[in-house]
Amino acid sequence: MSTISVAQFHKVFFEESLEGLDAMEAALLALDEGGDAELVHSIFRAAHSIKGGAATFGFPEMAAFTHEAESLLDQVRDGRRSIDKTIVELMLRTVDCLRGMFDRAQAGQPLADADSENLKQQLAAAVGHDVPAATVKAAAKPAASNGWIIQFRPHAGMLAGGNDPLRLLRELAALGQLVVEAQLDRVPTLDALDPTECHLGWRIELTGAVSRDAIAAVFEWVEDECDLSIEPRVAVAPPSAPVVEAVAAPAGAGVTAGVTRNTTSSNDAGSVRVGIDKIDSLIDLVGELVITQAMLDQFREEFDPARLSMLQEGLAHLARHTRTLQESVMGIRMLPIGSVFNRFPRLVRDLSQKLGKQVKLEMVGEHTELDKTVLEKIGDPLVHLVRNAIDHGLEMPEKRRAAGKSDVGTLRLEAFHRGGSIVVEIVDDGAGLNREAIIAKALQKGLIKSGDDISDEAVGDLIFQPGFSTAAVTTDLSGRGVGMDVVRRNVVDLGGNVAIKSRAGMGTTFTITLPLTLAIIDGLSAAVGDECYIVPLVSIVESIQLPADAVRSVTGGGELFRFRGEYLPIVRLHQQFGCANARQNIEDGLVIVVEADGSQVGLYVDELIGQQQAVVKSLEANYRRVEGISGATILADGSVALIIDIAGLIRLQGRRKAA
Amino acid sequence: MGSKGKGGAVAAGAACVGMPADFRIADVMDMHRQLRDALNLSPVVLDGTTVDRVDTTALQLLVAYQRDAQKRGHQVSWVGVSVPLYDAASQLGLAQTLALPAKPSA
Repeated sequence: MSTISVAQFHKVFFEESLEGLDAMEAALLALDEGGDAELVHSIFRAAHSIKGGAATFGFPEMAAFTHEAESLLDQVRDGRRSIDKTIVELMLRTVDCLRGMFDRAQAGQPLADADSENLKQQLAAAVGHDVPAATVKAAAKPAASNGWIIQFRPHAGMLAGGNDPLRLLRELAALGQLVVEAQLDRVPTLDALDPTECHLGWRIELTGAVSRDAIAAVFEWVEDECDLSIEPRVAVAPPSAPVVEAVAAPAGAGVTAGVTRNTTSSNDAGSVRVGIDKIDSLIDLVGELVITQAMLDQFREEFDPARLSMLQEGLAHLARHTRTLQESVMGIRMLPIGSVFNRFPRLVRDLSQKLGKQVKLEMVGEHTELDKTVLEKIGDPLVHLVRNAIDHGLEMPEKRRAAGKSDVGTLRLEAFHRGGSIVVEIVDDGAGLNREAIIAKALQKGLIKSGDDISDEAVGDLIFQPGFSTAAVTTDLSGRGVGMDVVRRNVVDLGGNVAIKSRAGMGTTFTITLPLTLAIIDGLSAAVGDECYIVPLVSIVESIQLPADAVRSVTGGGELFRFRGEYLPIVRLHQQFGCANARQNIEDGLVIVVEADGSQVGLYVDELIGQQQAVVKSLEANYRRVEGISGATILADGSVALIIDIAGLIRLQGRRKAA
Repeated sequence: MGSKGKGGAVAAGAACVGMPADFRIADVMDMHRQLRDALNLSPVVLDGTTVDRVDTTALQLLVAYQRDAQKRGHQVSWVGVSVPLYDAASQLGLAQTLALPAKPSA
């Protein structure tokens, strides 16, 4: 097998291993709260898979590191050691360290660092307390060079099957230098021995530049007749060891050993793992489409007007199947939000321990599905909100007790569908927003002129202002300069919004509303001169026709109109985007009132064409970024329509007004 | 029981267990019987000088025998070993366990 063909599996290995680490972490946390033996097995299995994969795919440092963790888990599994907080903590750190290794592996960087080496030593030391000296010796033995450790334990019937370990070891000896250690512990007494059965085992150290595949090939014919493990030699090596150096070399630096790994790291287009049921339903749908197409095909040869109803029926089928197919294909991009929620049990545990608070985490609706892109970008804002809730929201146990609440604070994460959106709520039963502190801070920062008559809603909104932080003491958990304004901006960038509701002494609720998908939007198409623009439906408040006298001109060339008691600016799209042949008189066209970031404007267009779903194509990728435009779509007649970025347009309008 | 008194270097009164030229799985049952009988004797000398072909079963059998004999406090020594026997035992990491004498010159 060539190195390139192995490299192409790296991504799948990374994905599966990261999932394995998530499972390991979840099981460790469950174990921390008193779980059963099955949890230990599942943690062991995850570690074992990662170790095996790491060795197979050429990450010996990772394999060696995981080997130590696996040894420790093995002792727990065998009952030689009982699970305690220290081990859970050590294993949780191992999970973190492995995540770091995977990050570095994906970035093509050296896997081992001081932390991982340090942790590996700690794991080895923990294992060493109860293990035979040989293992400790092996773990502590410095790796002089590359090589492999092969554990080979033939099953009893292997000899009778005509396969002789002697022959296999001779073949191995042809690959490199061997140090063979026979394991005699299972050889029975001479009386009890069936001489045709094999009770020996071997631990073989193979030195030399040999690929794992070459070793595996030796055992190819007996792999079902023996227990076999092939591990890279444990490398407790100085940082400048050849293995690390080779990986550290940048792509193209001419170090052959480093090249294979670097080929996969860049241009990562991402991937989605799709459930087989989703694929099956797609195949079914395509089958239906083929049938419909065959049905419609009959009309190509001869069209009999008497069969018009059949044609109409066929077209109706086609429309229905296309729509369903579209939904199913979009469904492929949808992943459960649980994959983001999964990180929170650990986060909450670590944070609450650090702060001396008691927190019960409830998670609801983990199966709610979100677009992969949205999912990837919502993680950080959620982490920030959860950190904030624990750090600032939930009180210390004594304070809670004094307030007549339970010592244990509750933090609830809930995801659910509402209309065409996904709603994620972060609810805590803490102290709620400190209204006075927020107003004082806002006054100090000049965000408001007076603290009187400010609604709770407006107070809540203040914390989303840039640079706003009321934390009296800046901890390392929050208040690190990444404020709520960043949270809001991230969510808004995803086409969603954040709202906050708080009651003093009762707690705070953050509500994040997100679009189901970014790839298709529901829009209203509007004609402007010779062009057609798509206005996202979620932003539209109302469409109105204005009489000429309803519009007031203001100094600086702006136009305002009165809408529901407020004056809103008018944005003439033909002026904004330079469209020819557009209507000029306000009474001849229509004004679409749109809203984003809490601001409203009226978009002046010639006329509305209709509502439609628009498949969003990136303008940036195909042309360049245009302010006020979020993308493009292709219309039924093949022409291109631009999709208006309402928030961007409003920002543009604001800048123009200020200028 | 194997042929006694074979080879001049055998200590007086020691039982000698000889091994077949083809000491592999097909003949291992017979040697198993001989070695079980030899477990009741001490001292015992093993003669591997005539072994041409050998496999893992043969060496495992010798391991089991020697270990049980040692447990009983019996003395077991070698008259000598053939090159194929020595090489096979070395390859399987058993030369020391079996306390083989030095490798004969080929």
